[in-house]
Amino acid sequence: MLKVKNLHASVDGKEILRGIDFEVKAGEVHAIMGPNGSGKSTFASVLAGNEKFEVTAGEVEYDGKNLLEMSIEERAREGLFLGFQYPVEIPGVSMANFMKLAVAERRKAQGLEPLTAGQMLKYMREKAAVVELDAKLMNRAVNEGFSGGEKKKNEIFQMAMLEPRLSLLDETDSGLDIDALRIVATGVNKLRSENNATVLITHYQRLLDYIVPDFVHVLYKGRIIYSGGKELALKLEKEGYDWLISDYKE
Amino acid sequence: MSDKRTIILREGCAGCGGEWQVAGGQSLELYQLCSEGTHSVRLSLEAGAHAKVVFAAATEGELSYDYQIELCGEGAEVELYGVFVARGEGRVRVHTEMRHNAPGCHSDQQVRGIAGERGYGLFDGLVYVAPDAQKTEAYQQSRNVLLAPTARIQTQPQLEIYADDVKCSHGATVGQMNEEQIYYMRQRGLSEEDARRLQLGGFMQEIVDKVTDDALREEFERVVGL
Ligand SMILES: Nc1ncnc2c1ncn2[C@@H]1O[C@H](COP(=O)(O)OP(=O)(O)OP(=O)(O)O)[C@@H](O)[C@H]1O
Ligand SMILES: [Mg+2]
Repeated sequence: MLKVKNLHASVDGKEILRGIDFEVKAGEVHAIMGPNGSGKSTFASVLAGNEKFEVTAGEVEYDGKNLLEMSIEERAREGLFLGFQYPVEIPGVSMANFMKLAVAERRKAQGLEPLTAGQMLKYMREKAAVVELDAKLMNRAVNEGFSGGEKKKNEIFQMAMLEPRLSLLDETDSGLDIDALRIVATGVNKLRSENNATVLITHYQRLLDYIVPDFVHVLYKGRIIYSGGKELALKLEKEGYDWLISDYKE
Repeated sequence: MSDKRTIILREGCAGCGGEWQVAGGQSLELYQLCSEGTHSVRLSLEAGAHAKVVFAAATEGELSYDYQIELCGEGAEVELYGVFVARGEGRVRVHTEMRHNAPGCHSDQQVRGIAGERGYGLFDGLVYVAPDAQKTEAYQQSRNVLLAPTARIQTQPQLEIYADDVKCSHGATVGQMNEEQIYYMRQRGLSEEDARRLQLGGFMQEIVDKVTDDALREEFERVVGL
């Protein structure tokens, strides 16, 4: 589904991604861990097409297409979803209105009929229930005045609405209390299928107790320096990154 | 029961405006939707009076709004909200004077401007607090968005405060559209054009939503193209 080869990216002339190789197949769950500032969010942003970053080398293939040639919205419409580490507030734009447009674009790309107003309302309520998000929030402006936990749930709600092929969830677990974490994780698990894949960026093993990954990767200074199975996350939780980093020669 | 008056000044009344006094316990709502000409509104409020002013304007011509508001009696309250759009060669000037001459009065002003193409906007707003107008609360906010490098908006907030026990704040910004918001919406599949339209709409909607009457609010929405 996703093949990343030797990806390099910079911002303001400063190289942040320094040769990432990464592959995701349908049905898989990957976790990316790594110290602060190692480039995890940057990697997700580059995959989403954030224009702040310049790709200086490498290739990314997504469902057989050259991802790097697609616009931000084309990637999204083709089912690439990024759950933001810091979801953006959009004053004056209601969630309902925003979702109506987003779902219409996604369905068009999937070759599905547009939803009627009534169907949309029902669909929205159903999906809000998946993450136990108060449906009243749909009448409010996007993320405005949402609590930290509500913002994160709102990301997973939007993921549920858009039925992505590939979800990149950037620290969706950070700032969640234990109940919210369970709700969010249950939501993500409900959305898992043979046809889609999930990449979790996280600092905490506890998320991976709920969403069990097939692979765990360590990103450090813009490269994936180590990959393993789910037991790697446990080891990292106990021992930190030092044992990996001290071995690692730039 | 307070006595409520509503005045609507619509487009087409070039040079319209007027002078109103709001007596104690009364409430005046004044809505202004003009697209050309010079319009001057004077309000004076007695003790405990309330006034709410909402204006909207979108123009490619010349437009000037002038508000002189005097809070003459204790505990009077004024809300003033407005949004303008200057497109093409349009020029919009909004001048406000909020004069707190009595203690314990409250005023809130929020004016938002958008300029595209070679549009020009000017907001100049004075908040005056007289020496004996203690316990005044006066807020003023001017936020502006430029849609093109050739568009221009100037904002000149002025505070003249002669009392010491007051709460006053003012803020003024002129900027481009928020690219983080655009990116977020595009990440959910919206076209760049839709994302920009939605964001700009949201910026104006917050002011337009100050109009509580449904039919009138729809008229406001039409004027600014929401
Ligand atoms: N717009 C930017 N301008 C300059 N530097 C940037 C920019 N965005 C990211 N960086 C830098 O790139 C590096 C990687 O940042 P990134 O946000 O990808 O790290 P991260 O692994 O997600 O960290 P965290 O765990 O703290 O979320 C950091 O040193 C950061 O300061
Ligand atoms: Mg990060």
